[in-house]
Amino acid sequence: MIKLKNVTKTYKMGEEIIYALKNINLNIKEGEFVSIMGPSGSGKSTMLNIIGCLDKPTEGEVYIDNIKTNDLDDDGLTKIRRDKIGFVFQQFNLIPILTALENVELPLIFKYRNSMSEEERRKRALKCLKMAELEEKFANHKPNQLSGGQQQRVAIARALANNPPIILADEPTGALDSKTGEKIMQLLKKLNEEGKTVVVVTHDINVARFGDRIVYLKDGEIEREEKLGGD
Amino acid sequence: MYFELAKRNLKRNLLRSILALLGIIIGVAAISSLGILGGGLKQGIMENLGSISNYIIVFPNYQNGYTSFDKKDVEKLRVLNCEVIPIYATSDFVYIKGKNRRIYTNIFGIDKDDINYLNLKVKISDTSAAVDTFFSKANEINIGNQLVIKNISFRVSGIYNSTYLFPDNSLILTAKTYKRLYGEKKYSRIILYVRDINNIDKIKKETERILNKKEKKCIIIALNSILEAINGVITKVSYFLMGIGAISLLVAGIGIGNVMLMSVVERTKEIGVMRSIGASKKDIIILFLYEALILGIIGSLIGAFLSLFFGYLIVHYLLKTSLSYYAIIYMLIGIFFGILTSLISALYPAYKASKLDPIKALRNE
Ligand SMILES: Nc1ncnc2c1ncn2[C@@H]1O[C@H](COP(=O)(O)OP(=O)(O)OP(=O)(O)O)[C@@H](O)[C@H]1O
Ligand SMILES: [Mg+2]
Repeated sequence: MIKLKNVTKTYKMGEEIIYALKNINLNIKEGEFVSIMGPSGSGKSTMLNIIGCLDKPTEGEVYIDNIKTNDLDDDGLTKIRRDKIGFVFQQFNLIPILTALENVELPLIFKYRNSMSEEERRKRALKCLKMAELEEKFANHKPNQLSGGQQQRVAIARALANNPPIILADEPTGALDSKTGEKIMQLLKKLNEEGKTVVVVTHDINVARFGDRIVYLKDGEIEREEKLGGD
Repeated sequence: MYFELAKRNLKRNLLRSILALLGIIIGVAAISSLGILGGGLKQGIMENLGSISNYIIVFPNYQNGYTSFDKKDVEKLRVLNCEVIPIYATSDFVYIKGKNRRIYTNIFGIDKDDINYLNLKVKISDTSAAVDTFFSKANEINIGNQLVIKNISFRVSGIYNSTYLFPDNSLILTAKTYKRLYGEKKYSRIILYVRDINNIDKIKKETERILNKKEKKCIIIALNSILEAINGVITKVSYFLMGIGAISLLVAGIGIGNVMLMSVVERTKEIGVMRSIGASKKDIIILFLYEALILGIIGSLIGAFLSLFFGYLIVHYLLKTSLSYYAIIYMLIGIFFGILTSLISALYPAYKASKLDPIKALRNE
């Protein structure tokens, strides 16, 4: 489902070249749940952004659902983000002037414009909120009227809107207390069991344990991998 | 939804949106009301002078020693497809009965039937006279008053607006009365009344051929060319006025551009979020253009209706004519340029927003 081949990402800081990622090779199978850990500045977010087609590697190849994304232009990358990927952020990043439901409708609007009726769009968005286990009575609340956990559920519902095969989450529990964080991870796990491929970046080993596998990054390189057996 | 989103974004910073709106309102109101002023001027001129455009005046050419026309000249012109109206003219003293006043006045003699072609809206008989409004006001004369010329008294039977043909301080008698008073057989000018304005040039040329065959006996003036010249000047003046209005619209455009740039900066992170959940560059551009469009439409409509109000004041109290269809044309022009300006000034901010690197935008706090 996701394949990184010799991926390197460098930044120029004046004369100096900074390696954010060094020759990364990673395969993530369909339906897998992968956690990425590592110290601050080790390149976790950079890697996730490259997988999510927000960023392009300096060198190497990236395949998403067997599509080589290196060669795509901005519109092509936008389509991959829209159709194949759902993003979940640490700070939830909901649009403050839109209600919970409208936030979830937004990706549908970007994808279908007017070709999907308003009614159908609402129905789908409500379904996603339900999948994200947000009570329906909050559907018409603005983000600032919701708790952190509820906001993250809306963000997850938004990530599900276009029914993408991949969910990418960059420290999804980072802004939540550990109890709420655990509930959010249980939700991501449930979505994974329903067939989504999930990649989560985290500092928290308890969060990382929800994965089938933990990839440890250090200084832009994969230091080691840990398979979590049992289930 | 784009529209809804744009609307809510505008409401987010209401004061700022209102200020931007105000610029557009003022700009559009300026363009339209100055346009209406120009249109009103033109209409006023047409109302005052429009009726003379059907006439050609033939004067004797004094420079070549000709001072009048005779019957033969008039008869020669009768072949033309127009009414030929020979005019007697002189100046003389007129006594005003009861006021003990003596005024030196232009006196015209016109055939009783021909008067109808001159659009003066007066009727005179062989014992009455018509005077112009200036004469009437200056001497406090009304219909029914008595005037005395060469010891013969006449009743004032009509008052006409002075024109180029019959200027201020003038008086019209029937040709028969005129001849009785002055015995004159020669005409001082000939007026040609052409029903169809499109024939003016043709008839002017034919007149030239008939009368100026051997030498330049007469000077022929088509009044519509004067009218066209005046109209041309007024048109230029009203473009100039609208140009001044356009400057305020330009300022408004800069205001909108500024407001948009500010909101691009403020909403950088949101733009990044939208890009990450599937918004294309085009979507971002459309979003900002919608905001400008809303400002443009609301501002232009308010501005246009204000201009109708100002236009009414200008036209009614300053020009003393009435508003008509041209006001709508200038309102539409104002609305068009108002919306266009809003859209154009949003282009750069919208483009800038679409160009943001999603990653950098997301990092932005
Ligand atoms: N735009 C940039 N310009 C220069 N250097 C950058 C840029 N973006 C990232 N880096 C560098 O790349 C490296 C990896 O950054 P990244 O954000 O991927 O780290 P991270 O593992 O997500 O860290 P954290 O846990 O703190 O989020 C860091 O050294 C960072 O300073
Ligand atoms: Mg990070």
